[in-house]
Amino acid sequence: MIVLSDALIGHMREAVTLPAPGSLRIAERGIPDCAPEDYDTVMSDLDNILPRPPLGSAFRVHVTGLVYNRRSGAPETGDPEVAGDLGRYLREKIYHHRDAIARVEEYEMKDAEVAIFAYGSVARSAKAVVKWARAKGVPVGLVRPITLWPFPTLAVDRMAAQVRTVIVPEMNIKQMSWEVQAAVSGRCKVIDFGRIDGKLITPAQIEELVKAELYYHDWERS
Amino acid sequence: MSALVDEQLLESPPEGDYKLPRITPHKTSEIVPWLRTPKTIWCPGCSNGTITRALIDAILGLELDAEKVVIVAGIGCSGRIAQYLEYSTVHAAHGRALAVATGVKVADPSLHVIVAMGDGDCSAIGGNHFIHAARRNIDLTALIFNNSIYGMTGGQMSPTTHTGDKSTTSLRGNVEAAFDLSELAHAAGATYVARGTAWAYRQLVNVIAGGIAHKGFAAVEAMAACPVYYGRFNLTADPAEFLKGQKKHAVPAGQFEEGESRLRDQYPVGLLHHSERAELVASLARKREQAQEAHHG
Repeated sequence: MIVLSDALIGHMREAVTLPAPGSLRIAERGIPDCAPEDYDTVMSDLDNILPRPPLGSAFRVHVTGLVYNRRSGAPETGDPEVAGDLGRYLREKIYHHRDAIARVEEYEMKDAEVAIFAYGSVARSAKAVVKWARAKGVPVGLVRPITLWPFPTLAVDRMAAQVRTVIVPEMNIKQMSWEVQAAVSGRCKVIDFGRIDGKLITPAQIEELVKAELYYHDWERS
Repeated sequence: MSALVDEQLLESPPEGDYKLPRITPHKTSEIVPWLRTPKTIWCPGCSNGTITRALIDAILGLELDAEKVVIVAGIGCSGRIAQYLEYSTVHAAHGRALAVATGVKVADPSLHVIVAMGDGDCSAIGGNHFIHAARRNIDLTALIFNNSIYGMTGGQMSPTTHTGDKSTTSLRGNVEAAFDLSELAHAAGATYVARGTAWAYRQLVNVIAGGIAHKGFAAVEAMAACPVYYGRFNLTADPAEFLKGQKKHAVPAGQFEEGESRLRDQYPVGLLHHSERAELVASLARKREQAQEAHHG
């Protein structure tokens, strides 16, 4: 897992409420149901998640970033068959659990006609815009991917079936809007807005995009 | 054991009242069960096998509970030790072995965590982890395989390549100065610093065992022979000649005199520095207790 951050998050100071000690569940990988000498990394009934005993136990696991034989657990970097087998296995593992891994926040999306698709610090500006628009009676919602990969396809599908326009403000030039465009595949319009000048995307900038899209709304009087 | 081992009596007088363990080397039949495979990627004449054996000898000699031994290794020739040893092992990212090991030790202080690194892995890619682990005095044993060069990638100069030495990236001789890893560890706050050589096997076992037995950050620098790269470019491509060179260069710490020839032609071996001060994991536990008392009391 790679945690992506940005300058705003790095410099952010605000109050947080930490969960009480012991209230968080630690997800254990499970102890193999066999004697240590019979331990085999493929023996598993845990839905394709291999049991992983803790370091410092009778199982003497080997944790490695190298290509390894997933049957013996031993690194084998020179065998294309072993490497291909491991690569396919890792790909399948993520692919079949992608909807469980991909986390997404959907905010005011129930009746939204326009969605803002934003992640990271930009999502803060986007949420402010949703609140501003809703106060004016305009049905704008936010889809905030918490996980960027695997891509939250299910939430994007829901969004694409519902809204007619998705605005993708991002601190990039189009990297994310291309992903969104591919995922909605023509079911709705995608508007990209990138900023790479070292300044943050402000709510006012996103407001302008919303106004342009909903040009028929009487913004002055609402 | 080979006849060479018996010639090795390079013990240095221990500093203060700290006594290095005296381990009797084990038979090959006792060592072999702690290896996962008889095959390694190491070149003929490489010292890494000797140092690996010395580590197993030290663990056996200290009669550690094998289930409580965790070996964390970095990347490079020496990093492969993780996959060869029959203990709980982690092959971490380049330079990050000490960072991973810090997490392992803090999560379960009952473990004996031994960190195997090469000179480049330890002092270049992972240089910051090295000085800060030493500063924190966390109870880890850093075993540094120092072959004075990046071997696995083809003999590039490393931070321990001596001035004037040749490598594939210093064809006309290195213009940079080399790190003395033991002195670096000492300056950064390590409370146990020792150096051994592949040549002096018994001493190597004892200094490793001393590091594992020490409560605090132990840096053990194992001078390794790399005849294929370092030796071929600089000293000799003959592994036996390389080891004999170590015999000539290694001076017991008590007899070592500082001079310009340090590292290149002469270096002290044995226990170099030893002291006692607060250890990180124990300090964290005390702080946690105090915080809980303050909260509940």
